[in-house]
Amino acid sequence: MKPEHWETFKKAARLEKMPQVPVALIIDSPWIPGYLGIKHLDYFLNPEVWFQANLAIHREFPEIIFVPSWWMEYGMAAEPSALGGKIKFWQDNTPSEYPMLFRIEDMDSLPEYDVEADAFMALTLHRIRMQRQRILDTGEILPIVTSRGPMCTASFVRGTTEFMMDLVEKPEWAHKLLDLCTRLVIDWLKAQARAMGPTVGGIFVLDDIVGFVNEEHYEEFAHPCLKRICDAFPKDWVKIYHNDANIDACVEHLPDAGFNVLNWGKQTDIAEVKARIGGRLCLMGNVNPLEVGVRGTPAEVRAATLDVLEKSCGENIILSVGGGVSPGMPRENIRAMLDALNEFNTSRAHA
Amino acid sequence: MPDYALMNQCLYEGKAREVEQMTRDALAGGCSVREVLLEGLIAGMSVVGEDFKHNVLYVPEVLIAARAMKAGMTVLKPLLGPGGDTNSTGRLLIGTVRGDLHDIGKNLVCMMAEGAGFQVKDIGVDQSVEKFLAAADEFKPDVVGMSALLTTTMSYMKVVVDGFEQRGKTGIKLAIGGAPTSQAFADEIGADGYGADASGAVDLFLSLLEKKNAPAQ
Ligand code: B12
Repeated sequence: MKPEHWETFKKAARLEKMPQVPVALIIDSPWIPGYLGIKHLDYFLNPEVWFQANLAIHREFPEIIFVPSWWMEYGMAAEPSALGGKIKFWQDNTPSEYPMLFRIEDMDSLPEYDVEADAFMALTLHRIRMQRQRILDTGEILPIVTSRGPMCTASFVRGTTEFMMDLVEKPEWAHKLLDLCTRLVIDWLKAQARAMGPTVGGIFVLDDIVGFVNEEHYEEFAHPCLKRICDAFPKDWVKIYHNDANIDACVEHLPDAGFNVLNWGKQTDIAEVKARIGGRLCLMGNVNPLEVGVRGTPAEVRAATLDVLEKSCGENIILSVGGGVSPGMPRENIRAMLDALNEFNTSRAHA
Repeated sequence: MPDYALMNQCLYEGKAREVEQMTRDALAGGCSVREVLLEGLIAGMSVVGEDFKHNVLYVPEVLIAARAMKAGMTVLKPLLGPGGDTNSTGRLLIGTVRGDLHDIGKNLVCMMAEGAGFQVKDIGVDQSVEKFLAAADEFKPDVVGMSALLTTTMSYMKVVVDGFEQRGKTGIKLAIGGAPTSQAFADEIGADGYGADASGAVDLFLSLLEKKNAPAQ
């Protein structure tokens, strides 16, 4: 992400009037290796392959704001790995994470976490420090720190199904586990900010598991944790939230938690999200990533993009797909999305 | 006559102990196992399924309701004929395929299938063809269900289908599901059917059973 990209993103996040609708995509290890024809393990473990891959993509699409810029990640492995999750790596796929907390009560016996030294967190931080100057030298910056959210992390550690039942059956333990995960997330984000340096001014929290609970559970379990995370960072930092499961029960609460930008899934039409929350959150979405983004023709991508843009009226929106970029989204469909945006922006400028 | 409406309500609210007790009471009062299963348990679970579909219930409530259903089933199971299950709707073996750890949808399918009277064996996530085959040898399912949520792992379903095909005519029906899959994909890889959601999955399993049990032409 170039400094001017970040300025644009921040303006949009603050709901300022934008002369042009910007475009941002979350790209990460589910998509990049396949797009460039490299192996996942090489992408994760060979710093040169990782650097060149990200450079190639930033150069190919200079108009796109990539969130969170250059992302040092091991799929979703970092957070659960610090709390004892088992991680399995694949040659051609993102890693799998296995819960190991078979009895929630055993969380009391977990060794104290240490974000600077634990498992894939330590390795990620080291990669940030190794690559940072090289990235800055390309004219890009690292403005955003990133973490899976507390519900997602708790589900990784405990198992999603088990954790969902804990919410009902062992609420006091569920709160305890969430408290642990919230502290971990905050410390993890802060550690990344230290490693990245003064260009950081935003947090990005991904938590789909929030989308599986009703509003009452959201308010009791998820909201206080999300708010604690947002409150732990300066007021003027941009706070981005991703959830491409169901946002029906939580969407109205997200601004109160402290978020400025929402990246959500294909299930909820932008017209509905805008009606419910459009004046209080910047909407980053939501062209259907798989059925249209991967499987659609460029003409279908164009139509879907224009549909999203028109429903947004060009206000409080950053064009994106509904979620992360899906593995297999081809070049011509990304181009079709960008062309449709140009078309929209041009006709708006003339209006 | 037991208060099935109340039993359904208790199941809906996930009150496992009450459902278990009401199941016992209904049997003690002379109701048939089949009646209690259908009107007490399955009827309650189908409301849960509907309400989940319409965002009235969310995942935790569905899981808790399913557990209440299971509590009732533990009472009925030993009475369901010799072997414990000859009266069950059918036998379903299910798992998420290799490389994929998404299981929320699969677990809901399991619950609704149990809710419809199936004997279910869930082998969990990240399952290889060898594991599917070995589990099938042991469990002897009528239907094998596979779940995948990633475009990168759905292709592995074909590996499992081929694995079963190489076994020759086992009579086992193969069903697939998960967001990126479709009927067209099922046709392409030679699976017997595709289900779009949990209730669609149950309808699919039932129709596959009918086909399986239909006399050969
Ligand atoms: C929740 C979720 C997760 C959770 C999973 C938790 C869990 N224990 O399951 C977590 C956070 C762990 C996760 C991880 C990842 N995820 Co994910 N995830 C989702 C999300 C938001 C929802 C999936 C879900 O549970 N839906 C709700 C259930 C009820 O629906 P369902 O699964 O479709 O199941 C229903 C039907 O399909 C059907 N069904 C399901 N199975 C079966 C089986 C049979 C036999 C039948 C008949 C029917 C049937 O019935 C079910 C009930 O109605 C989706 C986006 C989306 N909205 O779909 C992304 C999504 C699937 N994930 C995605 C990705 C990329 C990942 C990761 C690779 C990310 C990463 N950076 O590492 C990892 C996966 C690692 C791995 N190796 O598996 C992508 C996949 C893209 C693609 N095209 O392949 C998606 C689409 C998001 C996106 N970016 O667009 N994820």
